[in-house]
Amino acid sequence: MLVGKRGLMKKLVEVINLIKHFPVQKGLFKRTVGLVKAVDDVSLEIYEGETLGLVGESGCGKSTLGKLLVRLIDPTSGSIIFDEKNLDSFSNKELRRQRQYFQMIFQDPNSSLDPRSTVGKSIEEGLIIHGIKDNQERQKRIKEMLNLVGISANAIERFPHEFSGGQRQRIGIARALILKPKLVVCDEPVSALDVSVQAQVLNLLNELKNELSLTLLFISHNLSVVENISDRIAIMYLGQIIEMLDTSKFALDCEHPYSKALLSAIPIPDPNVKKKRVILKGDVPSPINPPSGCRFHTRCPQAISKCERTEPLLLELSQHHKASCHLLSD
Amino acid sequence: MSKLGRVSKTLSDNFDEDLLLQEPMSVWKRTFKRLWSRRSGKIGLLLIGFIFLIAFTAPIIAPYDPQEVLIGKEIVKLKKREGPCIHMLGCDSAKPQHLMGIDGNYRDQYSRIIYGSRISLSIGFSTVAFAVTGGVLLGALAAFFGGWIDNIIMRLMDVILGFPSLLLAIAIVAVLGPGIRNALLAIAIVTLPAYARLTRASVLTVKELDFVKASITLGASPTRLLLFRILPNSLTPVVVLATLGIATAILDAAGLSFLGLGAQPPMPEWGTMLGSERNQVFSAPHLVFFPGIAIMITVLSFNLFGDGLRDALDPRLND
Amino acid sequence: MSTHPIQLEVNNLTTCFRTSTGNVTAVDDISFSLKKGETLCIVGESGCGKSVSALSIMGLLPPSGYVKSGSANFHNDNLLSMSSSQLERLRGNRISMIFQDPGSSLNPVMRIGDQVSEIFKIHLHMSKKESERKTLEMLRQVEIPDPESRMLAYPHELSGGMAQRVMIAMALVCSPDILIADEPTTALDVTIQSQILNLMIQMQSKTETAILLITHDLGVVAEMANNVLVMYCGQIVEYGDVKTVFNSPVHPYTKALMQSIPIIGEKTKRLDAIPGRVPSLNLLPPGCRFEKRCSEKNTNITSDCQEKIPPIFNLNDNHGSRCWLEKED
Repeated sequence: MLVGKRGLMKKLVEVINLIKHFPVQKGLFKRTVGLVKAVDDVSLEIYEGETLGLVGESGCGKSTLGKLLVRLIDPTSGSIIFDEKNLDSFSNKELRRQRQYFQMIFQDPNSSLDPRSTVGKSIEEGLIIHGIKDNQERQKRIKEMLNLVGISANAIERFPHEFSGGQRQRIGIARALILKPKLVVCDEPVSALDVSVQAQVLNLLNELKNELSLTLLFISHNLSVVENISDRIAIMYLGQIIEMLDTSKFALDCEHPYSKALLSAIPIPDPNVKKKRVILKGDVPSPINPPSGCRFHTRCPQAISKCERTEPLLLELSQHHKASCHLLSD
Repeated sequence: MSKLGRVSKTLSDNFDEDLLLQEPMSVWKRTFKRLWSRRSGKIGLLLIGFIFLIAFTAPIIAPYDPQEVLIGKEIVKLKKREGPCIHMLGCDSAKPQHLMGIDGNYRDQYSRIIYGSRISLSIGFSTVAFAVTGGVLLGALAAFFGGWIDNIIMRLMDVILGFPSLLLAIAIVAVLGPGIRNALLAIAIVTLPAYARLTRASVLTVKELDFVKASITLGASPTRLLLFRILPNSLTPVVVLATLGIATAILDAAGLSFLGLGAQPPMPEWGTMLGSERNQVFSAPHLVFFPGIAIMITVLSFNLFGDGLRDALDPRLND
Repeated sequence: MSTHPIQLEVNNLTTCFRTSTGNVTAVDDISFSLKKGETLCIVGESGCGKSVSALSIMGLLPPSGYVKSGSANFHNDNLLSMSSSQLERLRGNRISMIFQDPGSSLNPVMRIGDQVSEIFKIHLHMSKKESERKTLEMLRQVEIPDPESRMLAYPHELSGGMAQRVMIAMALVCSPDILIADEPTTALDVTIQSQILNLMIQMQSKTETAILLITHDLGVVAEMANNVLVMYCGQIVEYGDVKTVFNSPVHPYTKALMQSIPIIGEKTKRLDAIPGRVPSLNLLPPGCRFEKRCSEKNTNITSDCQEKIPPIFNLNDNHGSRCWLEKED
């Protein structure tokens, strides 16, 4: 249990030993020749009202984890408990009704809105599906929502191509939030935007999450952005979480060699600072054939012989700080 | 939700002005504008309009009934397969005017060509309508459900595509018997797989786009997804193919009729007209020339329109 | 003031594009010089004209683009008035370019070893054996592991980072005087990015190549640049050496940009976002293009800001800003 500002906080999402493997199929008869181990035994909790940042580089599985949480894809094994309910036991129809409580904001403003629907119709869809029959009521809620995200109401009759990237992203946010969800998974929501627009959307998300008491899972490859919006940070590498701690402690107290390398790799916009860089060797290994033992050992500047043989466990180093590294658990 | 945040206020100040300058334009309106701005689209559209006009006003503009055999009804004795007599171009005004001459059964060819436009247009549209409906349905189901459904449907399409289309059409008509209805069915069956394949490819792509995933997260049922999100966005290539398909269908129908398997005489179908007079190419060239030109212009107009439409709908060719 | 010789001098370059709604000016009167061994960064957001500037200099504009005026002098020869065969002899040889997406810059049907040796053969007229030997050496220099077998790989078999290393290898084969890098690390993971930037610095110190680095990432600029050009809507709005521009930025856009990015380790929750958005290039205002979003408007000169485009005011030896606030009365 996490002790938050208001005392003990409730777990909204609990992920237990979640695994998602994608088969690699080759040949005429589509034989499975390998498995992409996108998410490989992940367990974590997300507490109500918090923003959990999920960081990692390409191929680490963070997007896949996000999609698993909103059930766009089904896990290979493991379970996800949402608001104390295990949704695996729900029928398709019941699941669809539950979906209003967990929503997603997508990365690419060019493909996240239906180009053939007006903005109003795109935002309205959730309301129609979940039984708001009165058109006037729907229009009222759409206008409220557009107001909240800073888009003028005459956007309702317009089409996505008439808007800029930042505006489309805000429309996408309006669409996700109109159902008043409890959990919002944000999958790289600002990565495709210009630098000056990123700040607008980040500020908007920060404000909305407080006003609407949202719980966010914020996925990004950009540590600086994640640090700005999250309460806690989880770092993924090759399908596993390798470190998890409070954001306020991250920059100074992170322990895992990969986290440190990630931190030092970020170019700081200050030419006066000459950082000592940890430059990793080689490329990220393929998730089809992750290295034995600790997955990071092939690039780790501090690897010892144990790292190649045994997989380290995600252990608690101190309160709210977990990491999986042999060097830290001795 | 009634509090206005600071952020939202600064965001909406002033910066939606350029939105208000333009009319909201749907994809169709924008497409039409772009189509009209291109020469091929414009010419194609105008020609098609012209042909439709002829088809609609046929009873008014055709001087004779297309089936009417004129022997014995005229003042001056008609010669079989007589060439055109155009008064403006010097033909003796005592002779009755036949702008495109007389055919082998003493009928006025000009009227037959005019009425033939009706037949060609209805052949084109009905075969394509049938093929598109069937093809889109099969392709969408195959792509949406995948698995064994996909396999069965696509292998069936492969079987049909394995045959040369005209030969297969001939075979079908041979089995069902000659006549325009069976010819239409044959052509529709033979062209259907192309639409199925195209729809399947299109749906497979659209299925993966973010806005479809967004609808899933909102709780849309599979039916809703397919009908409202996936299909409307998958049909662009199908529309283009259908337009070009009308041209192909008219050509195929003419081909079948030419071989005697489609429209039967005395129907004034251009292919039939070509077929019955093909041995008279040198002695009565006007009976081959005019139906041929009519087919060519009609097919050309749909091809031009289809090309223009494809360019107008191409999202990469930005304004 | 550096005594290094100037490799590239661009004067009043203006590039336009023909569109269905008329001609649009993508690059508006930019001037800069690039010295031997130094790195000049052009920084700005999408649509500011930074990539188009580079393409104009190299003669690689698409058919709808054309250079309206200006010159780009490479060792006293104007690149913009050269024939395409003259430019071909320079490209890959004296002036090289690498792009954001190595996947689309490499020939997908040629092994990478062959692509690199081709340059040795064409520009340096080496024999087949000699160019293969040199290729191996080059691949080792850019730290590609196991180069003997990697030489035989096709581009799609390489990761983004590896492919970009191959691009750098190809670009540096002839020890060019100038390397133009257009967002070379934007598509790469941050740990790979630091490898590639590090590699570029190392290669530069060996060959004394001048680098023109185009990016939108202020962090990369701070790491790599000696001098900086900030562009907005096709114009240079501020220029200077990197420490001056970062420590004491003058132009309101530069200042606002620096305050709007989240910086790791700083816990400010609310970023100073720049309100509004970049005007589109066919609806430009008559005056200063940043005026509508500017938070430093001075009531005394507001009319100037709205009506007249400010010239670049030179503040001192190597620092300038395009802003009416810098005008001395």
